Amino acid sequence: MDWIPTILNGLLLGGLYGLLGLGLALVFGIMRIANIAHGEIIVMAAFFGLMLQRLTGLNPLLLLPVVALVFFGLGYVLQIGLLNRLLGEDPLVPLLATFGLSTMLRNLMGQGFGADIHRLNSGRLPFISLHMGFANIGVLPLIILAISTASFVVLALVIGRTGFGRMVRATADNFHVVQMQGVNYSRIYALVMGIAFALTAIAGVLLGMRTTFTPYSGVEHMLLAFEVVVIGGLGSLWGPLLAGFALGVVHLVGLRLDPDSGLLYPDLLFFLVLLVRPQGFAGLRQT
Amino acid sequence: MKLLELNGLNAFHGDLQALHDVSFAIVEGEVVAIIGANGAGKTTLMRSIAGLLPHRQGEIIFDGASISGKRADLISRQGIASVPEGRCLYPSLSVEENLKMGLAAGRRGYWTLQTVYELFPALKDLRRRPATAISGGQQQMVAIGRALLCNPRLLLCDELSLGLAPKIVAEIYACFARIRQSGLAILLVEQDVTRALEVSSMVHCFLKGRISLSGRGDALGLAAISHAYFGG
Repeated sequence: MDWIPTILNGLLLGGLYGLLGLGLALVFGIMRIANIAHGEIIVMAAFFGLMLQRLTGLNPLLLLPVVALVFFGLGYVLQIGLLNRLLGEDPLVPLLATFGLSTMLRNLMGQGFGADIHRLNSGRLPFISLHMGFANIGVLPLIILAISTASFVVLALVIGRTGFGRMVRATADNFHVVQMQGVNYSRIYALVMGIAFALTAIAGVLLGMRTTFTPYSGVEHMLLAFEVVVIGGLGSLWGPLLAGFALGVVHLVGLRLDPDSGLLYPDLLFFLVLLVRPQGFAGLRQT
Repeated sequence: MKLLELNGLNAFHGDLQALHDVSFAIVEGEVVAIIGANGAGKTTLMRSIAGLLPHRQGEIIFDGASISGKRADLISRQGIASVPEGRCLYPSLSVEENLKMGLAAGRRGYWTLQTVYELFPALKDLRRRPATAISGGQQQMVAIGRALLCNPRLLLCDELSLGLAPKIVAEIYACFARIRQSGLAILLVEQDVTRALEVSSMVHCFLKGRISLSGRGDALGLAAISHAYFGG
């Protein structure tokens, strides 16, 4: 069966797609902020990785902790400095703010880096593969899948099992009431945005290692991330990984059947899920 | 010693004035009841004290210092805990997780998970259940337990009996004696006037945002209360 490699590669790609949506799922599921600048954050992280790499010459994988930490700080500051002030009855206000932010970041990156196509250089890593009986599996995609899965597991443990996670879930339920137990919800929101940015930045660097990017490629990544979140189910932290796998497999199978299709088949899957199961795979909350 | 003091409090919902010149005090360890019809400003008062609703004029003094304009989370860390109207439990959290949210206030004292389970033994077996999968009375117990775990010096209780069967309400009020033993003061809003007079040492009746009558429960006649309650 020569379809097995296609499906395996689709799953490997899907792990990255899932991670692209994880930060968005966290922010959207908890703060109900649709961060339109999500795609630009992904690309920005890739460019930041590129700059660090030119500076240090290290493999991008080794730069991940630094990138994640810096983007945690960016997310925290963005939430405290801007978005927290815009929260209120109207969800459109923070949405418009992130829309403005996305335009600004896109053009800033365009100014700084030009329209050239970039890629993060990870040496010989992209060319190493494992020979299994039925398929050749790339080592880089395997590493990316491992990092992605680990991110999902760690986030689920932090949100589900720790005292901090309990406060995050309570704040998501009712940010008025948590104040009565001494919780500063603005700070929780800022920490959550920081974590989301860190996860998104990790996804951005991994994406930059696997494929090319330009200052203007944020939009397609954002669409993919939104598809991951919606197919996975709003409010679920596991759904996005499953959705990523589904989108990755559909993407590669689609490309094989129809090489010029681009992202048509993943988009069709998105459309189909909206028709058949609008709450997504694991959507529990019907808000 | 005065624990809480309100001086000429005026609070607004938009342009609508909900509290007019409200002044009274609560002494440490005291139980004070607020009665009054719907829309009299009782919940507005509770939200103002908790810091969830800013007031334009007047001052709230807690433990000798003004808390007017202070952030709600800092007020609760200072020792004012709330059992909000309608309980407001967190549906995504289990019973025990809801209780543990009280610990977030960072105040240690008499109330721990263990003492709360001693007060409400029924909750112990339900601790892994989702907070919305238990009865209304049990949910009210969780809301009270959550507030107690903040180890407050002042407990604000807004309509504990709302939507509960009389038997359950009696059970919940029966726990009040034990709660008071831990030394905290209680400010409670209660629709049931007889119940309010019974558990409190001081009653303030609200009418259209003003205090229309104040006094010790046993000293107030029902006719005076009825007049203060309904106006006219």
